[in-house]
Amino acid sequence: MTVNRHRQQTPGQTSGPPAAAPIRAAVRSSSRKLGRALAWTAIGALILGPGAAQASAPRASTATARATANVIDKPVAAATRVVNLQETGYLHSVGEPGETIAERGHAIGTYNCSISVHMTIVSANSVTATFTVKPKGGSVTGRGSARFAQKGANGYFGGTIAITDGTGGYAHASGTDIGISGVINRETFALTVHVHGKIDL
Amino acid sequence: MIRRAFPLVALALSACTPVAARAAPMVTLETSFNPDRSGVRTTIEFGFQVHSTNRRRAPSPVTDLDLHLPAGLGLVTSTLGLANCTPAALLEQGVAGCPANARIGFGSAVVAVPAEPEPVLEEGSITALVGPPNSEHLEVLFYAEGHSPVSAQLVFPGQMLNDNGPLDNGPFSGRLNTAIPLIPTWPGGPDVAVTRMRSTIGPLGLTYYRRVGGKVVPFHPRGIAVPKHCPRGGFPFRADISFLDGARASATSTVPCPAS
Repeated sequence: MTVNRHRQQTPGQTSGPPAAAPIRAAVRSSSRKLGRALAWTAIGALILGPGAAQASAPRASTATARATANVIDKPVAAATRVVNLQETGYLHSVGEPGETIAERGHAIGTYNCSISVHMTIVSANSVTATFTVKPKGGSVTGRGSARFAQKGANGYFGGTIAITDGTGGYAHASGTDIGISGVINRETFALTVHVHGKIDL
Repeated sequence: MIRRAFPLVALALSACTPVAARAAPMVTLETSFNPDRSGVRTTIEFGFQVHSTNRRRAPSPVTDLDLHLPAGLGLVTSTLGLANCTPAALLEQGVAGCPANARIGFGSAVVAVPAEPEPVLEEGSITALVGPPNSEHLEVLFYAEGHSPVSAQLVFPGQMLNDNGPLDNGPFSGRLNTAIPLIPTWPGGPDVAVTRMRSTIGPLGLTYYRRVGGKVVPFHPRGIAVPKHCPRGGFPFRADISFLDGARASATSTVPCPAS
């Protein structure tokens, strides 16, 4: 069941799986989708903070209970795949920024998809954020926190994000301590964020 | 940081009171938003005044000011401080040595020069600028300039620090911690005491410049966003002040919620 679901979620993946290992291929492609979603999520979480990690803790436990990447080689239906996420998002401000800055854009890397972020200025040096990424076949939501430093026209941030929810083929996506870093233009609020880490699909 | 201080005080002023532990002076704090309208970006106006317990004595010099800012208020979403000014450039050339886009406010200060029979008051101007980040903290440089009876140019370095934990829902989200250097009247003489300081932090009265198509175009920097939700009782501010003699004093002030 899981394998079939993954296959449905992963159509159009760029790198095709080996024909000799259909299960592995399915898992791999689904992982990529998840990774993409997570990446976007991470981007959103970049701006957010620690609360996200806490929120995702239960999900992480669930993920641990499930099989991990090692299971890929076994014909287990509920196999979970670990994806190394490397994503870069490019976002622009939507609406008038206030306490919260709404951003929307796209991400490229492990996954290519749309991303939206709501960043909240918690204090002079910290921000929190929630994010949603929408790869094909579902969506991933998360949140995180980051330290923030302002220098001239740019603000620089770095922190971690965690996945808190998913839909469709990413309903069971999980991940914590996904690293984020980036820069936001303080005049235009154009945001560039780099996400890196591992996610379970 | 003192650029230079000249002993221009007359000898008649030289019989000064010795520095000794005294009761903490009373401190008052005034704050306001300009403009003060819901949903409109603003300039923060703040000022504190130190009231000496003895009118014939200058209060102990202020050495540290912690101005706590209401939660949700910050410079991050403003375009204030698009450039940075180095303390060295400020000390060397004054405000002219720094980019216009580094200015974030201005005001005035009154200092009491210890003298007999009463302290002599001197007023100077203040310009607030954004300095280079100190660690990850935003650095605010207050450049003060006075001429008579003591001629001095000073830099008060301040830092925007977190007031609470990152997710703590306290009334304050940050504090501007400013170290106020001792200002000697003359070598070996007593220190001047800051008794009143007023300043703005915001776009009011400021003009920035950007290059557009090869031309330098002036523009008005974006102000500080005021939270749409006004806390019950208004937006709280608090000032914690430390004095050279070890005394400490606090004062609070609240900006009423704007009429909806």
